Amino acid sequence: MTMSGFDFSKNKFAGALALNAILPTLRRAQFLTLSGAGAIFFAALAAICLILVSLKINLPTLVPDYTFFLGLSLIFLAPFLFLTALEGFANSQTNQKNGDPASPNAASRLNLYASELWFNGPGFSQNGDTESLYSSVAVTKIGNAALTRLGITAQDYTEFLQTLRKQSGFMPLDDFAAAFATSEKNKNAGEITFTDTLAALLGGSGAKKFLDAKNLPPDTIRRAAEWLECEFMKQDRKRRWWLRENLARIPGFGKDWAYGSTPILQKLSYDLTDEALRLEGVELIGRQREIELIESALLKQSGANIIIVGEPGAGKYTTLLGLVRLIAWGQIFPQLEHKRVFKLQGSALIASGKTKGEVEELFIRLMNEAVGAGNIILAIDEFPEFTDSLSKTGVNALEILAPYLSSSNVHILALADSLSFRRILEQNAGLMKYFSRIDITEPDDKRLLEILQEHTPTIEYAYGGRAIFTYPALAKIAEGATEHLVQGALPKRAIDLMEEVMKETISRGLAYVAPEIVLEFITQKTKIPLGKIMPEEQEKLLQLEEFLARRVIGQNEAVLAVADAIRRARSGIKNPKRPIGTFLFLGPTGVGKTETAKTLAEAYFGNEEAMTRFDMTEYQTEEGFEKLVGSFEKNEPGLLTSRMHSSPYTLVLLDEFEKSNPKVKNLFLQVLDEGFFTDHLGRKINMRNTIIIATSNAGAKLIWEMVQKGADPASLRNDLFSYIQNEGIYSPELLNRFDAVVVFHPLKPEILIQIARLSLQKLTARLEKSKNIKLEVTEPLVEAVARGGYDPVFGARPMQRFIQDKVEKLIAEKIIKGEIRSGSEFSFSPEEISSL
Amino acid sequence: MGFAILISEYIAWHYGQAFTEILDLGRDFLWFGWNVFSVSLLSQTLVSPFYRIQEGYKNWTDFEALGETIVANTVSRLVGFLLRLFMLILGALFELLILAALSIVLISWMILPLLIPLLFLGGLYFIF
Repeated sequence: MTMSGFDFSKNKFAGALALNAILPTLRRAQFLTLSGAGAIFFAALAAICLILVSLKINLPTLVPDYTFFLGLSLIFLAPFLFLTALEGFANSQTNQKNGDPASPNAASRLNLYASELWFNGPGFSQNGDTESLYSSVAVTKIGNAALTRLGITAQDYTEFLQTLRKQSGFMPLDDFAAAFATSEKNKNAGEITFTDTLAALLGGSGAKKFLDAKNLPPDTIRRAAEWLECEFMKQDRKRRWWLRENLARIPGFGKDWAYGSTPILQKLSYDLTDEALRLEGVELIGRQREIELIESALLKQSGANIIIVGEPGAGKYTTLLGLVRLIAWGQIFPQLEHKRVFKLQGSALIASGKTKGEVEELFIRLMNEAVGAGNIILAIDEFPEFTDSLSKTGVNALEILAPYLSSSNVHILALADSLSFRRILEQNAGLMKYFSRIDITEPDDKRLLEILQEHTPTIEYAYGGRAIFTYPALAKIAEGATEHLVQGALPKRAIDLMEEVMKETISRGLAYVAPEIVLEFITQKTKIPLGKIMPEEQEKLLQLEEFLARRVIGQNEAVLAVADAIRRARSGIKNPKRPIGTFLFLGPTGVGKTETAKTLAEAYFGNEEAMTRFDMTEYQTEEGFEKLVGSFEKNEPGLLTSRMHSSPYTLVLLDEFEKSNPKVKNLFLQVLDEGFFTDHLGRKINMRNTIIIATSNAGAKLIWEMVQKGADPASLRNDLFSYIQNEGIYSPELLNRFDAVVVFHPLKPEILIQIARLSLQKLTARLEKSKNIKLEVTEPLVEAVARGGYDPVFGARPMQRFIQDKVEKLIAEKIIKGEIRSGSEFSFSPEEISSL
Repeated sequence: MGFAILISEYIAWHYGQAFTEILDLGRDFLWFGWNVFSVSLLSQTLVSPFYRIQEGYKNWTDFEALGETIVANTVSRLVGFLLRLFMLILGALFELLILAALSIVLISWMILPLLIPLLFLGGLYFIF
């Protein structure tokens, strides 16, 4: 007992752990079953013999006397009782898993799982170093699970221990325990959990390199370990069937005898109890508050009806099942104890009647039956759609439901998607006054991760345990689903992603779902580059300016700004709550603004088609604003809304942005700042996965004049900004929201030559490919195109047109005349060039 | 050392905390029986109509119809009463069984360290 303040023999789990070491749990269970079965079997044989003897039936001489079997039964009974007592001891000692937080002896402050780690490591021995404790991590069940969830394989861990050994990285147990006893968290005495121990072991300097290589920060280790401790405790409580909470889950007899029978209800709806009880293991994290709200709303004397409103996938139905489960388990207010929740199949009701009258009659009979039964909560999924389709058959749902809605004998629990609720029901004050509204909101980051942890065992089980989720992968799924996926609501969006990633992992034949797979999967789905930067991409990113400059000629400032933005986004340092990049391109027409946008789309999303273009001159009026975000009165979706729905991962190009309506500008003020806007139905539309480029001709004339005068770029920029602001074209706050405001300069003659050459080279390549003829691009030709394809107002924009109208026309004539044949090379004569 | 701690902790537990735990367990099983056989609910609704099957009294002057209704409603209550009574008796039997088992377990627990070797030796005695 040399260790100061650390004496494991005083640990409260020491006895139970010692028992497990002498006779492991599994072995005990086997012996217990065997001895119990033996005792019963031989007791039965003894009884049969005794009965036969008493009936005076002679047994064959070989069969022993009943006392023989009785004796055997007793011999089996003795170990059975012995083992039962031991089992009772083990279960009793480990029932409360907490350590004693006030004890001065650090060993007494260890909780059950930390004690397991110490017992299987150094045990009662006080000498030696932490090596045994490190090894114990791989030996204990919880330690092993922690390593697995962190994505550390047994081999990795063994190698890590070997490295530590070589570097003499183990510290004396004495020091480790002492440091533990006085460490920051435990200084004022407190429980020492498995998490604390593991974090201390892996938090040392020796482990840093190993964990850095695995990309596991100390925080991740703590949270993964905490999750496992929770999970282990939950499983242990579930295993103890004799606990009151588990006994309460067994349904009773005759609970519904005092309530009416429900033949019509059973035909047109179904009892949700079975479905709710199948939600095995799901604890409905983050839904307790909503369930409590529902409970208290149901306790109202009369008119206790509820409408649960939320986005599809936000968990309305799960919340409902949670309530049903609480009722089934009897963990609810006594007034609600014997309630039965039926889910109405609206379509079955509507389809059951041939005429309006029949549907009405059936509906009324169903409601009467529910009232008569006295214990019914009628759940109606997609309630707005239900009332809508009833009204299409001419049935007024409000009229029929109104008398029942104020009754205390039946409750209606309606579910509604936020969208249809707003569209169909919200205005119907007559109906809504009977309902308490409960909103299901999306979970925050922490809750979301907890929900995913809840679902982990279920999903792993559903896929036969062929792969398991690591904690970092779960964290990435939560992050990815929140930031990069936009379809559907959380948490369903994240749970769906979990399933998809699981399938992907299995299809690749891997045993762990690693964070890299999650990122690769999201990239595959969204085309947004994520994950580790591979050497090939690294090179591309570093030489991005070159790549961009190949297409965008003579606009160095633009190229630099855009390249910087991409690198910032790709390296993951950009603000996730804003769009990927936002730019304002200022400059005259035809100087490469659109071309830059296309090049950027190609560089980031891998395809220049990943671009959504809006001509903002169409949105100059207030109607224009409605056209963009949608109109509530006309019930029309907006163009921007629907584009963001169909392609959320895109470059949004806003041509001539300055001409749009001030309301539109304000809309984008929010988008630039927060990465979303609210559409006509009040939905948040996510634009965080877009690159936004607004282009503008404003000040083009000024740019011209200043370039003519030979003003330097810095003063040009200043003058331009003050001009724009003075003229009220853009407000300073809008200008400041863009990541970069890029000024495009008018094209100088030498740049025009370059552009002409590039355009002609594109033509040559096309001709070679389709016609197998080669056009020689001569200097005079390039100059002629540069000259003819330039317009002081439209810049280089007419160049393409010029090539098409003049050069291509000439080639076409030559082909028709038979002057050029397949495989030949040709050039234009000086006369032909001058005629261009 | 582990073995010594196991023995000393076990003995302390066997003749200490274990008794409270057995009593707790017994109490939980009694509660379980009460709950599963719906004792409170069934005794409160002992003579209620079975599944609320009941006919309304429409015409007080039509004695034949009135008589039929009275008979039908009485039958409904009677069936309900008999079934509930049956379930309550089952419940009571279950509770008695638990009580009996609890007393046996408590007594055996006290003498268990003696009982186990006795059973073993008794077994040997019966065989030979």
